[in-house]
Amino acid sequence: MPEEVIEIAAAREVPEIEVIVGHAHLGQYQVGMFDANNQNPVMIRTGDNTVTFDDKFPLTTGAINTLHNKLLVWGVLVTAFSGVSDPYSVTVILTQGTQELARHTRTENLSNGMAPEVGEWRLKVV
Amino acid sequence: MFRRISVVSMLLMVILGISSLRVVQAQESPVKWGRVPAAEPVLDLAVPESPAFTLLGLSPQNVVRPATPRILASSLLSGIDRNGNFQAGLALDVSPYMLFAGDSLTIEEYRKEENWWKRVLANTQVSLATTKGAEKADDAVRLGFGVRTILWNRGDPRQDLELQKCLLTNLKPPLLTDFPNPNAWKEAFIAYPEIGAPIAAKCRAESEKQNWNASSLELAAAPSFLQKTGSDDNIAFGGAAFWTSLAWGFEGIKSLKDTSQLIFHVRYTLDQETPDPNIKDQFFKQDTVIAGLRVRIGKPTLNVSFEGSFIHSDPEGARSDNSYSASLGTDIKVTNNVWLQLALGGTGSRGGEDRIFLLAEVKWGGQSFDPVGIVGKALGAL
Repeated sequence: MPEEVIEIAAAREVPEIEVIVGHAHLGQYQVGMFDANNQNPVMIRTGDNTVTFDDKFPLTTGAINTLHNKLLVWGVLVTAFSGVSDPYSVTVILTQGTQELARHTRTENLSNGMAPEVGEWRLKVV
Repeated sequence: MFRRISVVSMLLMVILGISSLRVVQAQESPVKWGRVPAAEPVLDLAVPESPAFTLLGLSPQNVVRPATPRILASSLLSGIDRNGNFQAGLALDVSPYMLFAGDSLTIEEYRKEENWWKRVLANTQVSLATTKGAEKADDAVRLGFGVRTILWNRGDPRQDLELQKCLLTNLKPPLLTDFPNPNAWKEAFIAYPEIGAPIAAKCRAESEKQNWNASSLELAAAPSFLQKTGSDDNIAFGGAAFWTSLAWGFEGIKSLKDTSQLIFHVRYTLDQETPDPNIKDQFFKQDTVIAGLRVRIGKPTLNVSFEGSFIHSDPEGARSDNSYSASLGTDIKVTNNVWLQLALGGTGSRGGEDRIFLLAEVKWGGQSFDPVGIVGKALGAL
């Protein structure tokens, strides 16, 4: 499957990524980046959706151009508190300021009370 | 009040392993016109999970639980033919709030105190089922519609912080920094549920052990309708049932909070089609009110219950009837999803039709089996 390339404006705010786990399930997530050769992984954040701060955070604390050609990857493990066949949904949104750059949403039924969701976007700073 | 059972009969039951012989059936006498059979002596005081299925007497093999509105619409459309007639075999179970707004309901939002109404809506299930009549001459399709809501639940798994702690402590999906390339990590992450799902199941089982007797308040309602085949405008009301159960888990009472539960249950059935015991294939309508109280003591896999219930029956065209029943029973978890229920009790105020009963039921995956019926048929076939 060809990579999905997301363009990021160099002169604007630092892009942010948000992870939303719906249907009141537990979500453990990781967001990280691999370099242009898909090596040398760096973790941006790992956490879960039970803590009381927003699951929305910047991709970097440095300059935006450091994101050029990086592969942004994310993984969300959804676990049910009950209802092992209930629906689940995962939404991952990449924004820059008020502009939405990319979105991934999946809604399906859980299998044995658990579902992994992974994704990736190649970043191109323009 | 109680009929006597000979000691020899009791010994025979034990020797043959038929510990659940239905003495009621063996000694029943014809019911006089004007009096109707009372409700089942041992009542299920739980609010059914899918009221529509219960009202129609179904345990469907395949229940559609739509994850999206599109799937819901598709399932509904498949249950109606081109003439607008309901088709038998539809079984749907859905939480409407979760279906339309669940994508944005995070666990954090769910737990906020001011979002109590979201919790109620999230725990409201709607069930829908269709079935054909049991008799050849009866070509009507019965449609059952049910709503069940949990207004209050101290055992809500989503609010169980110990469960959350167990999951977060023990679930360790592979970290992307431990892999040389993204594909290797994604493959390991996607495969993690093979390890993680059983761990999560253990955490949930432990939570269930702690919360099996938690306090809760549930309501349910289920109307049913009849539609004659080929008559899309001939839809008749087929009766309804309403339930409520209030359970108290003795929270705050140290000696009882882990072992005991008190349940108060009220059920009202309206225009319930009841077979006339005096005239074959004849039915009459009856309203019934049942009020029951049960005390359960024990643990999730084995508990004893004492139960008493009052039954008021009001048949159409006949005088109303009051009776009561009391029983001592036990629930035994044989293995995962298989339960054995035993009960010994009696009924009263039924004017000569009072009886003592000894019952057993095996429940497996939502279905119930009467061991006597199965063993009896097997013996009869020999």
